[in-house]
Amino acid sequence: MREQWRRLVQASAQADSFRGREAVLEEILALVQAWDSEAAPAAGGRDARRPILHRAVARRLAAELEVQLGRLATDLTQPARSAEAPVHAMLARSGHVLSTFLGYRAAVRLSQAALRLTGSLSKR
Amino acid sequence: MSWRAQPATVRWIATLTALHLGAGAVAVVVWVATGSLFWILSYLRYAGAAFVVGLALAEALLSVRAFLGFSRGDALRPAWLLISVAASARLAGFVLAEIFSPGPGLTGPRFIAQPAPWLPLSTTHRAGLALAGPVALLLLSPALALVGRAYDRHGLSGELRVMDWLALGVASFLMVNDTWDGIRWTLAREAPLDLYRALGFVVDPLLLVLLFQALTLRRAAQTMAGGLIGRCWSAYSAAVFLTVLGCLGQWAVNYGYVPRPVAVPTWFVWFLVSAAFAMGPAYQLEALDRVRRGLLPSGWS
Repeated sequence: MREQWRRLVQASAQADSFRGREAVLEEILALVQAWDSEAAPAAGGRDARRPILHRAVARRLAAELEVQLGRLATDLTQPARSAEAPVHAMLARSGHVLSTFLGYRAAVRLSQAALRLTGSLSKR
Repeated sequence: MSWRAQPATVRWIATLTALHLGAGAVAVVVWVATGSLFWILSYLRYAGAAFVVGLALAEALLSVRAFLGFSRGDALRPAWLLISVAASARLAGFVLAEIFSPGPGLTGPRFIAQPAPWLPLSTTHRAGLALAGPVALLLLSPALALVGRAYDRHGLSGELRVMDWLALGVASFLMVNDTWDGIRWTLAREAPLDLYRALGFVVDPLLLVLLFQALTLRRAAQTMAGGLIGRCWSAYSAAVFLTVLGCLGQWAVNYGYVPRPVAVPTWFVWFLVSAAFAMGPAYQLEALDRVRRGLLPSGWS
């Protein structure tokens, strides 16, 4: 199971083979649910692993920012990745630059996409 | 960014440009080997005209689409509006100059107005050159100033280095010579100063301002090196730099400072200018399209 998990997390960083934008996350979540059902309740359950999933979304956001902003993204995402809410921290740091160079609408759309993914994690 | 990771539009433009330049090289080789002008003339008149008009059309469409991605109040909306109008001016200019009134003989493409020497060009052709040259550049300069200011606001403005100042110095020296030659030629022949020739005199100082803006923008864009946004503005910077090169080549050929064989490469610079101008908005549009597609897994194409 752990091997499968590692494979999926690695795949989320270079997922050429996945069909859609939700595919990686869906697969990760499906694996987590299967993992949950096997694991003992005392082991922590889904809540304990939510930060891991948030970091997976953060990694995807960081990769997107790197494609858009290149070298500048390193400065904007590196400290945020270790933060408690990395997605929110990254969006806060990069929002102004994105608004300027991509326009307000695009910046909002990117933020919403990232927050929707983290939001869907909370609901699961 | 690897070739496969480049936006599809940019890959198309680069492939088309490489094929076009390859065809041009073949035409030059045939011309030199056989002495026949047929292939090189056909290449410049038909393939060359189709290439610059086609890429100007692509540039105009991509720029307008990029402009539409911005909302009222966005910092770069006015810049993209100016860029879209400049691209439309280039398209209109090339259509007038290359399709409705092709230039005479084996001269290579002339994509920019010049005050002198007098060339036997029709009014339509001169209007086209004025639109595609000085008018488009006059619109581009404030657009690049707005982009430079945007970088500045984020503390990302680039500082010029020794090589940049050297390039500006050399370009200034040559441009002053270009203008001086134009003035001397005009005075010697008592040529009337009509609108086209007046715009020709504007080109050199305007190109110097644009070169300064382009070099600054290139340094600023390096803070986003490897990203789509950085590449967009690097492409505009390259387009301006190549325009300066093409203009200087045109001056050197017109006044006989370089022999004819050396003039040939200067014809091809203008095709690279067209490609660079089309790649700028292509990168910007790819950045906007990626956001529209949502937060994709990295490496997604």
